[in-house]
Amino acid sequence: MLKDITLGQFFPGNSLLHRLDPRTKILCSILLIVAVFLAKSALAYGVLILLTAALIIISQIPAGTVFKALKPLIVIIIITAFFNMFFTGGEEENVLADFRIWFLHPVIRVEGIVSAVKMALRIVLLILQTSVVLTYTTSPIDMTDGIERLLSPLAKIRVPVHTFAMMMSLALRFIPTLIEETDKIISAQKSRGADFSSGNVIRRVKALVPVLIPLLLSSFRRADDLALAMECRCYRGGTGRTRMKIMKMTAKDFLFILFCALFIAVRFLPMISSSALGITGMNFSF
Amino acid sequence: MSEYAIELKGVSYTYGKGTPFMKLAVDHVDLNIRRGIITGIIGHTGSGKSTLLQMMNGLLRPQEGTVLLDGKDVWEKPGKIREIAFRVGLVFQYPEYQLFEETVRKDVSYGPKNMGLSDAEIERRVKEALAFVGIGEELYDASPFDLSGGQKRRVAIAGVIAMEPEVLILDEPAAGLDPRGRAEIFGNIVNYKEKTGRTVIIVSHSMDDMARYAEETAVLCGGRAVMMDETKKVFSAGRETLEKLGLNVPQITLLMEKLAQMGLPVSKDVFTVEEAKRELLPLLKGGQSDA
Ligand SMILES: Nc1ncnc2c1ncn2[C@@H]1O[C@H](COP(=O)(O)OP(=O)(O)OP(=O)(O)O)[C@@H](O)[C@H]1O
Ligand SMILES: [Mg+2]
Repeated sequence: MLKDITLGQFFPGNSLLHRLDPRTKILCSILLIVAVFLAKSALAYGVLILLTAALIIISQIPAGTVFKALKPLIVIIIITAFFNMFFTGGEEENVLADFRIWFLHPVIRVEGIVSAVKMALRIVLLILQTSVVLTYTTSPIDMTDGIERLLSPLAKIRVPVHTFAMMMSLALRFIPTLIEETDKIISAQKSRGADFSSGNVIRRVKALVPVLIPLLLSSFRRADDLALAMECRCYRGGTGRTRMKIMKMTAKDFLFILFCALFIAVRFLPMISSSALGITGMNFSF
Repeated sequence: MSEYAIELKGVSYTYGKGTPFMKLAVDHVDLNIRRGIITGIIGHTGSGKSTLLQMMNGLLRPQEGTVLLDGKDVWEKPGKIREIAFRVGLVFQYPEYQLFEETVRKDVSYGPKNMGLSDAEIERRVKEALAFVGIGEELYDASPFDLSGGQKRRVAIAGVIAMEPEVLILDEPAAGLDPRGRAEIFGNIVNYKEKTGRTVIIVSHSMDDMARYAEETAVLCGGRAVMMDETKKVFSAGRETLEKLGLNVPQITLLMEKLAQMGLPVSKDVFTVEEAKRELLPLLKGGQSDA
């Protein structure tokens, strides 16, 4: 039951995106997010849609799986689009529909629809790109390693970067263990007649005590054991620690960063020509 | 009353159905658990023993097949499945990690309380259950967390016994205990069975314990029930057969095999130390008279 919750979305594979350095992927995700926010013209969106499609193909992850990443955000996308549709100002001549409900006076203009579509598209692109470039293709452990290395300059001003990264990877490592343990304890208490699904709120919360106490205890026990095991292997924090897997940026990493950075620059080109071409929504008229 | 306490008919269970992590854990198992005896279930790691047990007490619903308790389908009324847990008591692997109350007494009464029994009845059952596992009155008000590992295990077992289930199932009751702790736990279980006449099912990795305590034994392999017979007959299948199933014969049988190879006239079908003693002592005496 609890097992059905998928944690992280890492989808193991061996595509170009899987093989890139995690730092590259974090940086590129940021670059692509910036690119999406800078996009204004329809042409720019077109280019970004093509880019996203290309990234999905390169990642070798089934498109259906990638689109699942949108599922939890559908409501947010719809609400955002809805508000943009009504609350975007524009020319009187562009009014498409005009409602009068009591004292409210919602108006749908062409500008509203264009901006709603843009907003929805923007969120969809953001999610798809970061999923494919980062979360689907980077294991959580690689991700924390990457973050640690990227933030390592902050260690100079005494930010405990290594400690945070270590805490994060330990937490990630133990989430599945904890879920398994919870499942086991729930089953055990159920076979002693625990009832988690009936009664009012207070009774249900009370019914959780026999699960939470053993869980808490075993977490402490685990933490103790782990600390001991780490000390036995002479763990003393990040200073002087070497790595078994040394992260190395290769030519393909730099090329990929350059490739993603390019899209920020490309943003400005269609803006100039778009009005001349009459492609943008703004020049749309009936 | 049917002859069997629990009957499994073509029972199957697959974890994570429809995901890439799909795993067929129990595969069309037919098993009959005879009433009033100790039945052993053995099988290599991951052979589906724990999954099977959880289907016996209604924690998992078989995706195929039926589980009959006393001849009646357990899932006939899914709303009443909690009552099945009271009638088939399941002690999980490492049950001491599920203790949570402040005192031993309170923890053992958790099950009976959930059954909605009267205070007097709960008190009686708690005392009886703790007596079965050999926990003395002086420990009733101790915190379960202050007990030794073996004591905690026994308190946890008492927590299930106190529900007075028709069938008591124990998953690896002696795992992680020293030889003395093992003997004590198994002694308690045998005594419980003798005194109450109730049905007991034990899962164990130890062939020696099985040979000694189980009257009938079922062998699981890769989610299938490959053997179910009197314990003696199961072990008589021979070392080769059992090794193919990822199991072994008891240590003492290996010894007897060695002795037989060395030319001593001993039977290879000896599975417990007591039997070996009976077989070897006359031989020793005979040997002495020879010399
Ligand atoms: N909650 C679960 N989710 C997914 N797979 C599971 C789960 N529980 C068990 N399995 C898998 O089902 C198979 C049977 O597991 P089960 O726990 O029944 O084996 P077992 O015979 O009890 O093993 P052991 O002797 O190690 O306790 C194993 O391959 C296991 O990996
Ligand atoms: Mg098991």
